[in-house]
Amino acid sequence: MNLSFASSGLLWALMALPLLYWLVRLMPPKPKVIDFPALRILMGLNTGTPPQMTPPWWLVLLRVLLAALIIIAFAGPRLVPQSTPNSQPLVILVDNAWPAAASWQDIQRSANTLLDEAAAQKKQVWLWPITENPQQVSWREASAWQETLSRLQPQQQSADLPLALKWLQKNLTTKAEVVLLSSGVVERLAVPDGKEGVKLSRVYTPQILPQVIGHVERDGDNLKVKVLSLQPEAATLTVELRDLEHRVLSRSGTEKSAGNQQTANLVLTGLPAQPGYVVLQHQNHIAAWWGLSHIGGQPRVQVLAAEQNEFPLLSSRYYIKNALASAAQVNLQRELPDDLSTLDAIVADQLVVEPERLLPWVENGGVFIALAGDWLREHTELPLLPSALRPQPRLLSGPLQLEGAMTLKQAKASGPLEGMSLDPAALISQQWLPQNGWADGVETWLALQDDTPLVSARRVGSGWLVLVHTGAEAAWSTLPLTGSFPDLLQRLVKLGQGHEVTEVPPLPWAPQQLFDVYGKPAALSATPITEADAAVTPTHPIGFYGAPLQAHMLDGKQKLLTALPTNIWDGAEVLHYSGQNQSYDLLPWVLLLALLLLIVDTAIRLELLRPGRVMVLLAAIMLPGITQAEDVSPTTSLGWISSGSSSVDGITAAGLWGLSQAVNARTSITLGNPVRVDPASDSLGLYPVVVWPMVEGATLPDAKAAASLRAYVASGGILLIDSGTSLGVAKQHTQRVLNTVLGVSLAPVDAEHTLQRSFYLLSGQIVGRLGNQNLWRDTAAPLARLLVGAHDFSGAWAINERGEYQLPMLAGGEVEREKALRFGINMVLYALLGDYKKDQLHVDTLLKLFEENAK
Amino acid sequence: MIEQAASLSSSLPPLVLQALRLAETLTTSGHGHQRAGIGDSFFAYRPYSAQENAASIDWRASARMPAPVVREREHETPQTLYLWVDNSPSMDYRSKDDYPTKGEAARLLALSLAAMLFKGNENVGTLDGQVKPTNAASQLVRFYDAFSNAEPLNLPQLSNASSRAHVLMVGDLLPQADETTAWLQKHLRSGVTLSFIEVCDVVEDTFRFEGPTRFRGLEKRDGSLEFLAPQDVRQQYLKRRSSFRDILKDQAKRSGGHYFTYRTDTDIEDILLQLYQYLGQPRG
Repeated sequence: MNLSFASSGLLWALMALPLLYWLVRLMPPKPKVIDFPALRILMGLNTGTPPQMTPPWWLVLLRVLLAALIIIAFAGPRLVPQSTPNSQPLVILVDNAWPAAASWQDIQRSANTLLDEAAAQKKQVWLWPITENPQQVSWREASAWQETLSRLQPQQQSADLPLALKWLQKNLTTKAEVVLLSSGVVERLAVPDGKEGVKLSRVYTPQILPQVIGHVERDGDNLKVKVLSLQPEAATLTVELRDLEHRVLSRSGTEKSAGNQQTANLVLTGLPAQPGYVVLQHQNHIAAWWGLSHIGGQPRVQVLAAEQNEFPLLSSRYYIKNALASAAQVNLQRELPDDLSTLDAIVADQLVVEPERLLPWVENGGVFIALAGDWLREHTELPLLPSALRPQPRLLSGPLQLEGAMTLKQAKASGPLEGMSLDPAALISQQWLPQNGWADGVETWLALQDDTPLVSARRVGSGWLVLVHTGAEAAWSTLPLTGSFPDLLQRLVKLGQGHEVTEVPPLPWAPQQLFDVYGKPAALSATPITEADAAVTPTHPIGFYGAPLQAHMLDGKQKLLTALPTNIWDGAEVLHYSGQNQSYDLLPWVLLLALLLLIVDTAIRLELLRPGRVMVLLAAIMLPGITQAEDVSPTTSLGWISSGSSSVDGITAAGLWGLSQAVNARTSITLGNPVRVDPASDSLGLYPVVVWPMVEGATLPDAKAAASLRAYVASGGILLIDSGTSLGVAKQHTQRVLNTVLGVSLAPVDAEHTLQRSFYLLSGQIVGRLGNQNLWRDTAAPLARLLVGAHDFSGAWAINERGEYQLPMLAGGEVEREKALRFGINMVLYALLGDYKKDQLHVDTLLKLFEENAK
Repeated sequence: MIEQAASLSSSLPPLVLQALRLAETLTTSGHGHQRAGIGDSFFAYRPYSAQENAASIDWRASARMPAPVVREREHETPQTLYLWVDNSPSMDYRSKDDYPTKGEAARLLALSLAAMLFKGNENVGTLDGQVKPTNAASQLVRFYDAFSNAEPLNLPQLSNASSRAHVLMVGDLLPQADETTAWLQKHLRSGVTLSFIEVCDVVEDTFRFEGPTRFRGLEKRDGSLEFLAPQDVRQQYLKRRSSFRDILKDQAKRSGGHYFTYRTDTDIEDILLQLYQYLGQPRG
């Protein structure tokens, strides 16, 4: 690494530093002027020794260093990678074709470093973005290219690397160093062979090559996404299915399959909106994008229904649109398109003009679905109905009707509605009936309870004319409000699928929704596509053109990508883009150091730091290990004995920590961190309170530990045996411990005991996590030494590192927890102070007695 | 006349009002002279008791009474307090805008004291003779004028004070300690009680200065002094101050008076309470 400066001329200012030193020496600071009334008292006092303007050498050094650092910072220091210095001009060939989007940051950064380097060596540079077609080599200063480079972006365009190398060989007249900043990926048709073209001195490639979508195809209700990795051992990815508003509809992880391929399955059913395109998560480049026009699949439906602007929720259009939204491509335009062949089905809830126009389309395989509302009243003979209808609809519910609204009966077996969900809430109030029974070929697919038709259809050519005998408005039926309606419509429009329609609409296609080279939606300017196989160019970015879902893509060029072979050039140095080759800006560090020195200097000036202290401070900074010496100050701590269960021990430790915090906060006692003690090896006498949780099945302490525990109880610490833990109440083990280890007789702690009032007045309530119960104490001495309970005190006290309580109280909530803490505090004070508080309670009486005696 | 008095009272300087308010806060019951004692004016009659000198019986009054009575006279103190407030330029000083200047503090102190003493029916006058001893609270304004218009740097004649007077001098005293001492030796007569209230600013009292500093005096004759390291002379300064103070303390003590120190950053009620207690206590 070499040190270089952006503006090295400024470094001459360093020469002025000694001057600064002399100036400081020559000009003593001006004294403060202060009015002072008692001046006469000062008269005759020693006014001080003559100016001593020789500051200590280290202070001068510090300040000169500070000034030097500031000058250096202004000069813009950088560490640039070591390179063999030569005076040859430099050609930087930047690969900015579309595969470069994945590694564009690396490419740009490396180009910047190369420019810095060249600037330091004062080389002539030519930076050639490969998508441009230069007329000649144009040498310029390295710094002049910075601007060009910062504006450079990868283009949605292919590049021919072998051609570029050949061009260079032909046009490069002087001997020059040629560096290729490649994306690591080339199209298979443009792989260089290393023999032809200019000789490269360095080739940069990314460490990780991009992953691209190879193919997306529809397989029933699934979308199969094939992901190609250009290098072995690629990581698996997440594939996202998005709608045209870029919301993620579903995600799926890829699985490795043969070779470098990965596949993912996206389920298309039950999506909240219509899928628009597939992208690979975190792969920000064009080849990780795949528009879904190629999959076909969903029926394209034209909805003809009047819109009620004021009350959108009352219009049938709203219900039809939502019923179909997830299963079809819905077009809501009022007019039929000129080219009916782009449609699979038409749902009509209003009169259709030029019905004759539709008939050939239906014969060709289209499905015309009429929702029979009021609009049919004057048009019962419409040729688009399966058969002619009676002039008036049949009223099922109304003031004069006996039947009332009718529900759906079964759908016709073997019809398209077979197995349809029949919602009992769908009530039909009005219904159209056929004029003279059924015409030939009319099928009833769904009937009402009285077997009158609700959905009937007639085959025309290879298409269908379908009539739903009721309308979508509330006056006709509640059908649109039920789950049966989407099911019904989705099944009906699917009938139109698979009929012969021309896949590609006529040219030109106007741009609709475009994506930038990183695969992100962007507002780009583009020209309409005028030829069917137009390639992706900067004027034709990837995206949707013409009809809403007509993706224009790289046409499977992903499949043609391959990794750039790097070992084909003799003598070329092959490097990865990585931090090692970056130039490194030292400015922040120099400024930081200067700031630190300034702080030290200010501290010295304010006499916060005297030389001795500076040394101490420096030592503290240099040797952090020393300052982290173990805290050995003798503080009182609570102790606990392991129960044998790690989860219970964790709660016990946390509980004692919580109790210590409460004691520290509320009393004048300061407790240290609770300590785990082992009665067999540690001296228990150091701890005023030792908590021992009991767990069923734990091993009994050995003889030495038992003796130590007996001695502790006999000598006056408090041993709290808690048989209640988060694992339940360990009755038998507690009994065993009491009988075999301690051998004491117990009595309940009564309400008058000092423990009940040593800090708080507990009034007989001794509460743990498991509630208010009896607490037992040994009867051997007036002061309690041993407390036995089944409360799970630690569980109630336990807090986590954020100070939140870990376990909920069994009953009573935080009020009970407060009681538990109060007991704990009382216990600690009792352990430390004994019966002292008992006498305090009588202090009033004692004082009265004294007063009486005094009289 | 009445209009003039009314306008005068409404134009009482704020300092006077403040002084009145301060005096209100301190009760003067200890000073009440509404009791029998040595004096000339009549106080009350009381029945004669057998142990008393028969000459003390007021026969004329007894003739109207069923039993002989003794005429009691109201207690009167012959003492008069003379106030003097230093009005030299060095008093016009404060180290921070939060504090009063030393001169303001001294005048307020003196006026409050006067107001307090008026309440106790004491006679108060100014030492330079501008205000003759009086016990009328309405004269407070004249005191104020007298203090503000006093000649700077003029130690007054003690001849104005009566022979058993109590003289109270308020000022920064210490810088002129030697002058004051010389003046005292010249003028102080026996029988005059002398008390001092030293008013000083916090910077004078503590002298916490560091780094090269040029001190500029406030009196006309003072020049300035430059110290490179004033922190080095702090101890000497404080020592000198306390030795001057000791001289004045000694003077006050010898004459039967007392020496008070008031620092302008402290509460003025405190020093007033001290003064009140000192003046209220019986003295031989």
